[in-house]
Amino acid sequence: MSYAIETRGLTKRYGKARGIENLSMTVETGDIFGFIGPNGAGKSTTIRTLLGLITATEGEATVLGLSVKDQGEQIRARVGYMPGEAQFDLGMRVKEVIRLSARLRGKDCTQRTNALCEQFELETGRKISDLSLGNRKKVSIVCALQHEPELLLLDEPTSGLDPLMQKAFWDTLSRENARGVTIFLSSHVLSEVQHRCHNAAIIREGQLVVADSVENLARTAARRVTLRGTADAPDIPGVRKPERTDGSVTFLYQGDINLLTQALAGMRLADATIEEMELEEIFLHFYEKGDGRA
Amino acid sequence: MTVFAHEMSRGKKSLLAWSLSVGLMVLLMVVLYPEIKSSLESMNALMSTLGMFSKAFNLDMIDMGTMLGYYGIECGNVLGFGGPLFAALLGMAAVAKEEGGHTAEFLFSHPVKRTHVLLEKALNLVAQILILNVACFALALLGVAMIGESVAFHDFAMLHIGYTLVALQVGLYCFGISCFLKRTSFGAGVGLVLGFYVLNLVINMVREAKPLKYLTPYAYAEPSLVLTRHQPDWMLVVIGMALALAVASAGVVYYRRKDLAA
Repeated sequence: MSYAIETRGLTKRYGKARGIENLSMTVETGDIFGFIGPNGAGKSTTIRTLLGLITATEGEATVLGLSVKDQGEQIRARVGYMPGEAQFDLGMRVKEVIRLSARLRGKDCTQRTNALCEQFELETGRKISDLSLGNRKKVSIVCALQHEPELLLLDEPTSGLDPLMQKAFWDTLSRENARGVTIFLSSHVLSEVQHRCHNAAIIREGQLVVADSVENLARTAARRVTLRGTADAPDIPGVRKPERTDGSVTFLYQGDINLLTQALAGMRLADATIEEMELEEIFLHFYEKGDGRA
Repeated sequence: MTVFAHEMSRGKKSLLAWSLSVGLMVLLMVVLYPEIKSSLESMNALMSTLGMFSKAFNLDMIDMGTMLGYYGIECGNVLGFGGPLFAALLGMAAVAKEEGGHTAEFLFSHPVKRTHVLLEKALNLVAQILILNVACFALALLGVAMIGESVAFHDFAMLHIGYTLVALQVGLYCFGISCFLKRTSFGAGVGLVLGFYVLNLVINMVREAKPLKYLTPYAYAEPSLVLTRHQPDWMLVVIGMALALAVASAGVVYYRRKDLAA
């Protein structure tokens, strides 16, 4: 198995302040990997460390098999990066920024650049200072994609994009992924990670809480059980947070499903539903656990 | 040389404005000379008797009545301030503007070495300072031709070379300082130029302060000294440039490992 990203005990501290702590994870080549966590959890710090914009305090990391510490230039040549907040020289025009980005890479990307600008309806003659947040994000997308990178590092990529542009963006990422591009993205929008990513990791206060396939994350986490015709949750281990409403009870269950069905068989019920939790609920579940670590 | 070309392109309007402002003021000073020549001759004796004031500006060592003497003093005021101020502002912004303007992330997420980027930025700084000073020299020569005066070209050129070196030294100091900053500090750049200038006045006035001449670039570009020796004090130039290069190099070394702000 080849890894596009591999970190071992990666740690970044800002003086006494925490950045990331002992982060060890792998992202397989060709994956679409979601990196989930609230503000300040360490998502951007991780991405910026992988790019060599900041230096790790401890640990090591490789990107596309290259050492982040010693081979930053080669890594950046093969990576496309979208920062959380797209910032450019305000006095420049869109086409100047895009051209500068291509020249810094020593590549003539004209054909692909034109296609991307058309696809994202980017007006290249406009000044950066006149652009909305969403339009600046589009400039960032073109800069990240125009040189046909092997790996995309995307920090909150869809924030600021309208729904139509989000769709165009995801369609583009799907095509890139289909031709073998690995995508590593951080996001607050858990539904998009659930629907777009193959694997995901949750980071909490700089530490990795869990990393698994999105499917497994949904499967291994608690189920939401709703029972109608009773106000009592079954008295078995794994039942949490029972909430009673008129003639029904909803609770989370994490444990052996057979134990649950046996317990339910002994109860008189009008109806019962057992649902997988949305990723958002899983995310909250891991955050509420507090002590949860991968 | 992408960064160099980009910086030159982004800075061309500012360079043109500064070159025209400082150059046209130099030109104005030159073309005014025939009008005030007679007054200057009578002022010459008076100027050399103003005690500490004369000492501070070395008025007792320079003949204001001659074209070169007049030009040395006026060039000192206009080009001696204008050139280094431009260099200070350019140097202070050179590196710190990337973090201050939040563009460092964009620039350094490309396959570039920080050292190469900084070298190209330093090259841009040197190129812009040279262009401004050459433009001023050309306008000064135009002024001399316009009024039909003859000047010793060698001394005239040495005055300009002296102030060009002052600007380069100030620019390199500010460039080095800029590497340590998270946002551009124009105030610090202006303060540095004023500090060097005042230090030179103090050195001229106070004998005990003479050893400090190694610290201020104005010491080797002093018009009275250049016109007397027909050249700047090259020893001071070498020491000053070595100090400025040391500060710039320290900045580059620091910036290579610096955590860049988002």
